[in-house]
Amino acid sequence: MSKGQHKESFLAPIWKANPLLFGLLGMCPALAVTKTLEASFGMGILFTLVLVCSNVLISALRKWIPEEVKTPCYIVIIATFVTLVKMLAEAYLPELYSTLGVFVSLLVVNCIVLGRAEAFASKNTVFDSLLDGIGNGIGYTLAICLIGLIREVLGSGYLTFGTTFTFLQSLNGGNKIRLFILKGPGYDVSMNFFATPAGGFLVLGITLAVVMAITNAKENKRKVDARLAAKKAKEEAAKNSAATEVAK
Amino acid sequence: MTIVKQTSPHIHRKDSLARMLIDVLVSLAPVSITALIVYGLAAFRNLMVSVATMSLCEFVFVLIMNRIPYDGTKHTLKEQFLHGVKEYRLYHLLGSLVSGVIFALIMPAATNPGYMIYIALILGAAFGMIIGKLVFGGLGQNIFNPAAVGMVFAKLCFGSKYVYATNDYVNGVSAGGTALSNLGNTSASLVGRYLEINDVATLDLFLGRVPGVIGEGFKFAILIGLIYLLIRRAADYRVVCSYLLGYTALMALAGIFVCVKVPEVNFGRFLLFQLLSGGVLFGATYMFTDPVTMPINAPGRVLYGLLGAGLTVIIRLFAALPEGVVFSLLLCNLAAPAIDHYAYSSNKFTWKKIAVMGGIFLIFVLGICFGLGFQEGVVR
Amino acid sequence: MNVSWKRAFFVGGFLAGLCAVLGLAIAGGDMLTKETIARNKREKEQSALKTVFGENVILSDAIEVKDAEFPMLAKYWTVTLPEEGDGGPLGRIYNASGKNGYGDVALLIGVYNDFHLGNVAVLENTESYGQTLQEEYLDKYASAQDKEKAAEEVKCGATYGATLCRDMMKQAKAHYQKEGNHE
Repeated sequence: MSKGQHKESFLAPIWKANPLLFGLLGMCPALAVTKTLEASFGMGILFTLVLVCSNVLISALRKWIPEEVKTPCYIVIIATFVTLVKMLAEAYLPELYSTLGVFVSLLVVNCIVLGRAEAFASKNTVFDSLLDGIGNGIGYTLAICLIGLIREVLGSGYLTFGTTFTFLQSLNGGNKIRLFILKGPGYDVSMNFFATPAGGFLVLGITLAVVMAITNAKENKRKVDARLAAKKAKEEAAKNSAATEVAK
Repeated sequence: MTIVKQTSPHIHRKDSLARMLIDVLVSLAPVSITALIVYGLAAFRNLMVSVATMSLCEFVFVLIMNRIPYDGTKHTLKEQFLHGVKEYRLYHLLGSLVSGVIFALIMPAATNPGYMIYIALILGAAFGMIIGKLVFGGLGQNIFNPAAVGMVFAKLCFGSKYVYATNDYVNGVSAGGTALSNLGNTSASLVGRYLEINDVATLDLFLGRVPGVIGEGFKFAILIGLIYLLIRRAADYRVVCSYLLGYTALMALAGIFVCVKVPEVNFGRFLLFQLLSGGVLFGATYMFTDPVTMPINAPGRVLYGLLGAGLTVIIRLFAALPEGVVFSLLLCNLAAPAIDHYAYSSNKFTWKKIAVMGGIFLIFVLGICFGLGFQEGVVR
Repeated sequence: MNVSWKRAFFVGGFLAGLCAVLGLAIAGGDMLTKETIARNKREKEQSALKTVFGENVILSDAIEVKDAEFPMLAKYWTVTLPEEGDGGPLGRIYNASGKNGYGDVALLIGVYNDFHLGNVAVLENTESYGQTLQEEYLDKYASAQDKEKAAEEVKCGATYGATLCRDMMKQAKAHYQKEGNHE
């Protein structure tokens, strides 16, 4: 692949082919862990780790993995990396691990990880798979951080930093950093609905609708512009031929 | 054959949609006037805020839906506005008025920090209108009742701050929990807690002297509205009859269980309590009869009312939620498109359909029997 | 499907080799992180012990529960009041853990000398409904005056988890009653 194609395949999953917003994959963690912004970010990081590692290994082994048992091989490799990531998280980020709970283990059957392994890593070089993994990971992290931000601000009223990434607490002298937006000392207009699963569905649906609307509007604009440009070009050509006829 | 471009609800009468909505508004007048008398300025403020929010949302929606499509040139906002305003009709305004009044009537009069009532009303009305109606396409296209959606959202978010006060004609303002939410303090058993209804006089319930939402008060006003709607045929009598009769029948069955296990509770009193407390009459009159969210065919409407009655009874008896009517309404709204499926939506009452209705009624009966049958009475 | 012997051997060999290598990787990761995980657990337990009866108490060493009737209880600490105050026994803290179809729950349950339930600290809550369990049951239990009654109200959004917690508390209380009557 050329350098331009590399850049394209790296940037595409961040917006144009975002696995969550356009592929509609990986919605289970998007609904379950997005109660707070920090948990979503943590989940995004763990997801990226798993995706990159499994992509690289599957791509490195792609010439030897037999066709008959390729899916079990992918699952075994992905499960190994998920187990390793779990152990690392349990040791070095214990609060994140206890917040995410069972959803770290669910990364084994995450559609995005398995899907990218099957569709991309098994057919491309190691470097391309690495880029693809990083791109998809960043795209997914951005998407679920967006949903987590909306849900946390609307649902609990404040943005809290420092519950799952406790090293941030040292910035505030040992306490969690809290931005009071909808809820604070003396006032409380937070809407608890968005912290519930029903609110999660609603926020996800509205986010998908907004993204689709923007995409469709851009597509429509591009088509209309193209049509108008073609019409204009035809008119120009007709005028030019009429002018040359007059000049003759 | 003339093809008329018209939106649902489809009525086979010469009257127009605007006329039907005006009928609903007129029938809401007695309840609103009662609420204004009892709650005064608070009710007026609630009605105004709710109606204004919903009308504004609908107006902006009509403007957005009728904007000039992209054709390469830039249009000023004023051009877009004038283009869209031409499509705003009377029935849009009336539709949002009706939803706004109904929403205000099922919200409480005040909240604990005083300013929260504005937040609850505005956010609830906007949510109900946008998510309950506009997202689906606007007037005539909604699956769910927008006032119900808004009320549920406001209750889930701000319900802990509601203050249910009532302005008794004789004794002045008294506050407290609603009659239904006060149940359950003496005994944890599902039948034993009905001992509490002996503390509430039936006449108080009828005249609205118990705390509640502002539309619940004077039941006689709701009955006047119901009779007006039935006379003008703006509400289908099948839904109202099947709902009220089904509700009474299932509650009578439950009453047998309660009164046998807890002898202090009078059967007639229990039945009247269940009929008059909470939003049963209000829901049956104004929310279940909304023609957009009902099934279109006649046997479907009977089934709709029956389903609503059964779900209300089950939620009231076993889940102790005071808003049983609104939740059962939303669930029935969910079932209405299935009831309208083209495979069996004709206007004839076939034996198969009657058997299905009987089967569903039987399921509710069995549910009540098994649910209440194994409860102990009050542990003395 | 007709597969040649060579192919079958290759596929089987490859799978076995892959699993062996990955198994070694997991074992290596386990070796690297085991001590850190165990140390985290100990620290969490120590800091949670302080929240059950407060800081001003003396805790004995952990004593293992060997009774087969109480499978959910792992060990307990005897709690005594400090000498400057009243002195004398206050109760026990039990380390209980259980699992159901949704995940694992581990609690530190405090039981007073007169066999009343005290505060409960959460060590581990990996239930998929863990958040609901925490908000609807454990927080309500923590702020309730009548702990016995609050423990019985298991009908929240996470009823199975709440039932598990209630069973753990019951076992802790029963074990203390059984042993306390001998003391």
